[in-house]
Amino acid sequence: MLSGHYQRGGHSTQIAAHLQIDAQGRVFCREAALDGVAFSALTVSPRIGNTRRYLNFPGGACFETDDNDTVDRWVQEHRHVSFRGSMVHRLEANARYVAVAALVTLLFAATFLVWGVPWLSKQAAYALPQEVSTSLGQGTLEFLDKHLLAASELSAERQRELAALFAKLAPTNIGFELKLELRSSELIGANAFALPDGTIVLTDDFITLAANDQQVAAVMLHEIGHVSGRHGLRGALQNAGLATLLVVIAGDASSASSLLVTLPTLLVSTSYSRDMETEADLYAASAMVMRHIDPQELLSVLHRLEQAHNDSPGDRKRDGGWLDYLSSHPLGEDRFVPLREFIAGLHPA
Amino acid sequence: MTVSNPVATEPQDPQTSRNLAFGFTGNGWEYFKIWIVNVLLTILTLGIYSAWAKVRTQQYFYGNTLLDNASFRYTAKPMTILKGRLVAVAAFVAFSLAQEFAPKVALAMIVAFLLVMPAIIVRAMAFKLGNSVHRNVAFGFRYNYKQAYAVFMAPTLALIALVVVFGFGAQMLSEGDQGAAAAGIGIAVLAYFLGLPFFNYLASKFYVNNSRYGDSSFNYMGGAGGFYKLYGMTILLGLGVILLLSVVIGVIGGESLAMLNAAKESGGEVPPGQMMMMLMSQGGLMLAIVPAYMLIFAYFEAKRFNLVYGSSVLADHYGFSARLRTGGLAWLYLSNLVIVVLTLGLGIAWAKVRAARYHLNNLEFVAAEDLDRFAAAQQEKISALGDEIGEVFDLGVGI
Repeated sequence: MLSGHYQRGGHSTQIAAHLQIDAQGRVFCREAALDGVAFSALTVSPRIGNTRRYLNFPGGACFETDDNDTVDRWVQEHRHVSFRGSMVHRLEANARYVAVAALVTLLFAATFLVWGVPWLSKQAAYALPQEVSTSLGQGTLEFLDKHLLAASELSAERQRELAALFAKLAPTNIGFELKLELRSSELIGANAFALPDGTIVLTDDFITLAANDQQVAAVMLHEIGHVSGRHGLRGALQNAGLATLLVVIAGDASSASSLLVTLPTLLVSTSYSRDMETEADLYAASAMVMRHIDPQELLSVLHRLEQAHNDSPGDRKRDGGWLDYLSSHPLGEDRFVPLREFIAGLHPA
Repeated sequence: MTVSNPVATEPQDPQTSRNLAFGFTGNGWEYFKIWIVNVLLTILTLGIYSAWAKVRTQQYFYGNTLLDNASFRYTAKPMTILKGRLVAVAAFVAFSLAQEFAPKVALAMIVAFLLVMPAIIVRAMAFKLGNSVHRNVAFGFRYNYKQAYAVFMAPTLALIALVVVFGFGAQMLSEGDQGAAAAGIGIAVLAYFLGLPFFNYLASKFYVNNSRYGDSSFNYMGGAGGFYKLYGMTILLGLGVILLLSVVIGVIGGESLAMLNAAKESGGEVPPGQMMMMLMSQGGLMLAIVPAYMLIFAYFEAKRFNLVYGSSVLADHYGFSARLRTGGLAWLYLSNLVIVVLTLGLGIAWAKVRAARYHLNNLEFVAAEDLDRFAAAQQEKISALGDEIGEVFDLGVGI
């Protein structure tokens, strides 16, 4: 016997009622005047913990009960669906499965964040036509020119020299039309960056900072590495993937945890851009080896850049936060470890 | 005929009204098991299961919400949610990409989004309420697009109008003085902020007045005054808390400085013990800012919840009595934060259950008549797109 409330439907009346079932699977209820309704015609709501169950009758009536065990028994005996439909509940009801689920979830989330998102976005970035990268970068230089950058103040001759150097370095087989743009900017100081469409911007301060043209070449190659690796598109895809992942998982999460979601996102996305810096460093280093330039020059010029940003009067404390973001060259000794190892591998002691 | 007619319009006798408690019967461990299996299956199915997970979660929370020993039921179909969710996630990805690479496109998307937002809100509410059932009678939400546009576009339009009128007005009157124009715009923005409580009132009224249970309407009985009081008191509380904190920080900071200076002058070093004390008191203050913020937030949320529920009436004879307390809610926020942090996020399940229980334990339904006299209304099928967009873009639809 099943105790609960019978709700006729179309109306909010409910009556306390008891359902009975016979061996043929016919349901009876004296209070609701049900006389042998086939149990198989009823829609039974799935079991969710100990939440109440609803037996929906064909005409729109509903029977609400908290006697989950009896409902389960009836379903098993008269519907012969012992496993289907209740599988999720079986997972939930077993503490061991739950522990495994928690562990797998944590591991999977960690793995996916560390390797999955970067790998997937790399595949996607190369699978997408190259025009996507190009079109995504359009308008960025105009925007920067309007707000951040001014025309280069280097002599016309020096500019020609640099253009020639760049033309010598730029590979033609990566599908991008590489362009060198020289600019001056008080705000970002000595800096270099690449836009996803293949535009590479160097600032006057950087040209002055570099000890020699080999160092300028090193940074040019580093930026070419970003373009060739489609890092702009990959970065965007990574951030979008990360955000989507969090929306999907936290679709359940309460707003109280939003801070807890944002902070790790920031950390993870910083670590992604760090990985791409390393990739560009290694690209530049091997390109330098091929062109018989000592990759040590790359290490030196990167150190110089770091030093310049630490010492400059427009000190990093003031505008370091977003400057770091813009230059996308996270500073710190850790970054140079892979490059050092690469160089050390070239000259076995 | 001299027989009096005592029935038709006689006012309700307050003696006969009953206070029916809401209750929540779920528990943290039980919901944790449901949640973690949901997350696992969502991951294993590359997100597809999330629609089923949402339904299961909603069914858990609805089913454990009791009023007069009858539960609530969530009747949305996972497939409907999946369709809406796919579109919403696609839009979200497109927007994230545009933000990174095509700021102009992103801007256009924001404008387009603002233009359709009122319609999204209506559809989201209709989906939510249409899929909420109590005693086998569904709730519902009127498709009142006209009012939605009036209520949700009004603040933006008012701001634009104010800026234009005051900004240009001041500029014209002063014959092109930029300072006067800036002052004019300042006045416009101030006027806009003075209007915010009123806009908030309009939105709450819109949500309540267009909701129905069966074919019976909800009605918002309060005025704008309650919202002005709510905002005013919250600002006063905020100022008080900030003042208190800055006094304490000033005193402790001053002492530390004095100690350091004294140590420097005497040529000695600050004793490590004292140094520790100084650092700890400063760290403690930084930590105090979080509860202070939560206290202000809790005050606002508790009073707003009480105000909106307390002013809502169903079919003229039924109302609510909401008694959230600032202290209780602040404690809930703070303890939930601690639980979630200490468990690396796994405690979200407990946090959600505790929040539901706290709110429902402090809410009562005041019924002047029986609950079994509500008739169901015609139901129509509705897509989940509005609801999903509202969720993915975190619109916070609803009261």
